[in-house]
Amino acid sequence: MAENMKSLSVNHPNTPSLFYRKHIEHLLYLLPAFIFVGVFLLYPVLYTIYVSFTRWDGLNPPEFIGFANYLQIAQEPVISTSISNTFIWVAASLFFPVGLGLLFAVFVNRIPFQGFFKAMFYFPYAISATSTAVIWTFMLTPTGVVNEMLEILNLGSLAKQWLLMPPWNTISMLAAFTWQTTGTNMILFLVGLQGLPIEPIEAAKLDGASGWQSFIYVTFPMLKPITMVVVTMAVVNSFKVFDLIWIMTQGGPFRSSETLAVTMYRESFVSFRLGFGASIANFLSIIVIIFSIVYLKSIFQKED
Amino acid sequence: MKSHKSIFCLIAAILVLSMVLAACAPAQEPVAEEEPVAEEAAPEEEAAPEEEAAELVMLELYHDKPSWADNTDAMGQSSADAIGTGFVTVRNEDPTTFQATIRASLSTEQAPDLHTWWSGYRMEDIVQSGSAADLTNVWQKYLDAGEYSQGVADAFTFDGKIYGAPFNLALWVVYYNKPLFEEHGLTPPATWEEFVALNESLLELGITPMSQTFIDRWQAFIVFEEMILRTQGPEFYNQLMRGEVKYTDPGVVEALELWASWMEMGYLTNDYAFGTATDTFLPAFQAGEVAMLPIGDWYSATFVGAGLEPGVDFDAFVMPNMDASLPPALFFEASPLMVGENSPNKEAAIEVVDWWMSVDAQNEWSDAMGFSPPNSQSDNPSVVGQNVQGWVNDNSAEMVLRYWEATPADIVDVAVDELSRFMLNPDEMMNVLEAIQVKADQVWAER
Amino acid sequence: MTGNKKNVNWLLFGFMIILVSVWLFPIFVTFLTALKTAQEASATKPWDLPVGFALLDNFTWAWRNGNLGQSFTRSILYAGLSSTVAIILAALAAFALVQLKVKRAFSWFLLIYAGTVFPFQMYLLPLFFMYQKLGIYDTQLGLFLFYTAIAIPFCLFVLRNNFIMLEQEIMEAAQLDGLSNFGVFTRMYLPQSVSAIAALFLFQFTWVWNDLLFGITLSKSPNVRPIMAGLAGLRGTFASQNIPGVLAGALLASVPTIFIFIMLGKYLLQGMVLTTSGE
Repeated sequence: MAENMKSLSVNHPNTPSLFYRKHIEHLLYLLPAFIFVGVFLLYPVLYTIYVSFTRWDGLNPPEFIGFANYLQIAQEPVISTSISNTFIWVAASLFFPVGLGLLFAVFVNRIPFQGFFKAMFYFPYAISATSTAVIWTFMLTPTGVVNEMLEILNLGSLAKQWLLMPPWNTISMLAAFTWQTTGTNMILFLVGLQGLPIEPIEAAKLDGASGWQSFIYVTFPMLKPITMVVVTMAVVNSFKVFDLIWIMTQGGPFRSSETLAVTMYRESFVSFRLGFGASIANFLSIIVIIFSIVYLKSIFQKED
Repeated sequence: MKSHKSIFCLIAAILVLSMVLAACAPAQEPVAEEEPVAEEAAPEEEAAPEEEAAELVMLELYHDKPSWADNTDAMGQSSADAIGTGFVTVRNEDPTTFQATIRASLSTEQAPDLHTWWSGYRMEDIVQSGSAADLTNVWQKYLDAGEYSQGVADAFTFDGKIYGAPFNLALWVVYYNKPLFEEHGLTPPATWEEFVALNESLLELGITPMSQTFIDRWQAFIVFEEMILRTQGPEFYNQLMRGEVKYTDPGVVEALELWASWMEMGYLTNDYAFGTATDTFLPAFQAGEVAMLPIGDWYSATFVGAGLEPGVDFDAFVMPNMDASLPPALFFEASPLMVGENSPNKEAAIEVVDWWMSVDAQNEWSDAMGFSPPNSQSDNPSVVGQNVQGWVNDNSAEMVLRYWEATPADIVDVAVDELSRFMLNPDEMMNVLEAIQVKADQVWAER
Repeated sequence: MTGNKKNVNWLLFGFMIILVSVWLFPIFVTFLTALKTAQEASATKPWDLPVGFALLDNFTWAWRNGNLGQSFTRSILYAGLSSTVAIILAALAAFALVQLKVKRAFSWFLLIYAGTVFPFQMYLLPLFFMYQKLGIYDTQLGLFLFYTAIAIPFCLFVLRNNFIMLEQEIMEAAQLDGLSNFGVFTRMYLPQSVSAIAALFLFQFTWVWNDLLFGITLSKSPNVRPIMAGLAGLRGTFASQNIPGVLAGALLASVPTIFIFIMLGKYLLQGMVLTTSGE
């Protein structure tokens, strides 16, 4: 019986009972993952959707107010800063952690002591976000390491209050973020690189392609499945970027470095406007889902 | 069917694994407890309220100051020894999730027995929701005995009822580098003129007089409140806090202009950060690069932690008033210890609060923490605290609640952001004040 | 790929050495600070060389005051078990999507993937309420279940894409061998995805190991809480700081993830699986 079960979508079932049995078996593979996600992740999403239609301070019972929170998003002055910062983060994290991750992966793949290099680039990710923030505030305070280094290099005029002045605060945090996450992207690209068949690359070499040519025309296109994962996750995670900003500047000074996720957290857990925070969360999620559907669907279709 | 079964087995195996994890985990743990307090206390905790056999009741005290937890556990044990009801600490390492989870559980049956909070307007929310137990009866005894001042009680009073006991009480002072002062023949200022002269002397020596920062946001209010209090006096400050005076009032403008001129002259800089994540102020202070820091007197512990000796390496004074005719005053900060109205152990928790406020308990607590005790019959363990306390008594100074709790939190949130904008760019002064006033108008209109 | 390109490689090698030095500079400063006593650290610049050697004292301080001993093995258990279970469940689901071609695969994928789209911080309060109602608040099981759930979407995503790469080849081989579905899964897909699985294990382990917010929101007892709670407690309040001790604790707590990285290195490096097995 098992042999018949290979391509359900193509073959029509012989009998209804066999059809259901197959169906149930296939769902058995899918359901455990779905149940976990449904109970622990999707239920809270539904809950948040409900909260977003209420006014709630976390103390007294929520009060239904319809779409007022969503209308508030358009009115709150800080939201426009948050949205533009969020898009800066998305663009920059595609460029730096992902771009550098790919570059490092390609470089590391060609030199000896790969294990050492990989571990070193991965190290920053192994350190918790809290400690990363301690390290970087150390580096970036006005009397911190970066400014002192600039003095030593006779570039004292470039010294700044890095975390206290927009746009340098966002730029500094992007640097810290790049430092922290490039390693993981590098690992994913390495996994992809090492899974590649070697023949096409050798063939390209025989045809006289230079290293870069063979990379751009042969290697990179073959990396597409892993590139897709890295790009999607980079976009999703940078849309949601929170930890690092919260610990380094709390979105300040004067809310200048807030992203949507930081605004959401601050409205929810500092100002206790939980309904408004929830509406920002949903707004943010809708953007990410639209992006995901468009991007993933186009790729899924090509695969089929 | 073979494949059908194997997948089923795999899933079952995972479920069993989870159950095993759940079942075996608690069994291996209790041994690991290291503090004798928790070890003895924990087993009793659940059983005590129901079973008459166990006399020792252990409640739970929730707070967000993990480094104080050993001391609160010790207090919990002392309480158990003294009155048969003690408590263990439930610590939360993150202040925002602490607030969220406490708020979320206060209205439920899982309400905390005892928890700490913030005073003033930040406490009002909880009191108004009916989630705070009334502690007026406990207080009355201590007020009648003259052990506590009415000022402390007022910080926790709403509509004539008192809902909190002092968990900690901090006085806001200006710390200074004592050896540095002595080396250059400088003394703590008693008047405004002396204060200005002091700043000038320090500048001439190439030393930055005072540090300010807003790296964790909240610190932006420190110099602001001092400037208002020192130029306009406590009466004006309190009116501003209650919304009776606008942020665009000439009095506030005068204070901020003074602040701006101090930044311009270099009396105050943003260059050294003191905060939770990092502290670059401390090395500069020790190196004699910056001489003074206005802050709450709990900062003593940070100095002590860095190996500085109170009264020898550092000391503190209260900032003088600009106008000598204004009444002597200083800022204080008070965190309440509160009892959950919905806690199943409410009565027992109130007994603990009664014990907490006693002279003995306050002696132990302030001794462990190095705090100035709110109970006037307790001994002040800190040299610096004694000096400041002496100044307060000698001048019968007025105690003024600090900005963070003295005005509605929604206004504070906007104000600290706007004030940091001002600290970066003093030219923005009027925009900053107007922005705060817009929020203030909105908040006061809603109330 | 070597041979004629040897000099180019060494140039690149030199460049990468410089890059790694820059990359590790913040950690170097951290390490230097962790070598100092609290007094020394606050009196000297971060990059000044330490006069003594306080590293072991700082480790001991962090270990004791953060109660790290208690939570160390427990957090390894949370991170290891939940990553393993999440990878297995995600692999099964990915197999269903790719090989079994369940109906509306894209919708199923999106539904599970949606778990990673939502900003995680918004899960805190609903989960807190749910955990109290279900009676798994403050239990090790509760934390294990959440950590498993949160890891599934990313694992599914990576494994699905990995399986897609293998699909064509495996389909043919499997038909020849006449394996059952489950056999195809365990004997064909899993062995061919070792490096992806190793990478996922590494990431998820690290994520769970470094989680603070969910750990402290969903539990309160010292015998349930994860290691990061203790570590965050070290940093504690403003008033009592031992920066070298905190940083020493941070370095100490990154040991397991680095260790796992090194242990998995062999599998992460395992290249050319696809081509060699295909021949």
